[in-house]
Amino acid sequence: MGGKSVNQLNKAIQTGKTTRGIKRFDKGRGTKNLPQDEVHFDNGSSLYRDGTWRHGKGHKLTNDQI
Amino acid sequence: MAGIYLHENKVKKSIEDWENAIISLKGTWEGNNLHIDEIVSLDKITRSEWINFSFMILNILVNKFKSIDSLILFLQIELKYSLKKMSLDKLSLKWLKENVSEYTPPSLNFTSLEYYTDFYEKELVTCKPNNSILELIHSSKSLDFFYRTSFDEDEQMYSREVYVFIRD
Repeated sequence: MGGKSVNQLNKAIQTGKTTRGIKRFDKGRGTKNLPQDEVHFDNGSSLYRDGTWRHGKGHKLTNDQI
Repeated sequence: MAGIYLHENKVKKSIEDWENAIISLKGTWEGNNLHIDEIVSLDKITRSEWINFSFMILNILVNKFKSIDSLILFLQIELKYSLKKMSLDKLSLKWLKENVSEYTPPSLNFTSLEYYTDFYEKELVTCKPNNSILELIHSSKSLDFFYRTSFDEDEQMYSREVYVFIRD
């Protein structure tokens, strides 16, 4: 996530200074339910920080999103 | 408000699919949270609607779905970060709506009784909802309200969350 905090990344989305197709970033809480930071995409899928897809549903990432 | 987004059948089907996915894991669940904007037909829901819709969905879940054996349902509400450490004895609807996260919608979760006892029960602090919140809840089940706050090194502020656990 480029060394920025989750709040900084979300602010970047609001100002249009981030990759297209990304809806928001969510902070992981270190719990079993919210183990890691997540990135949510406009198409409804979401990816954990370690690269695994949440709920087992993913899509092919664009070069910008990688 | 509800008429704009809430297609009850689509919402129920979406929740049912989520529950079935958790049941199929047969106790090996992990990271099963479902943000309310991930529910079919609620993807365009706005921040000002998150709290009301969360309790509306909670009512549907509690009253129209069978509970999953050995798992406890809860609603997790992420709040805005704060420069000061929060103490939250009483919780009102107005305060919750003003302080809900600017970015992350509330989420529905299931946890095991074991994880609840080992983690949440120790980590969370009890708070009391006032009537403005209780009026939104239509269930005979017992609801326990908690909050948690901790210093976030990345943000250099306190993160804050409210939890609503549904107990039989």
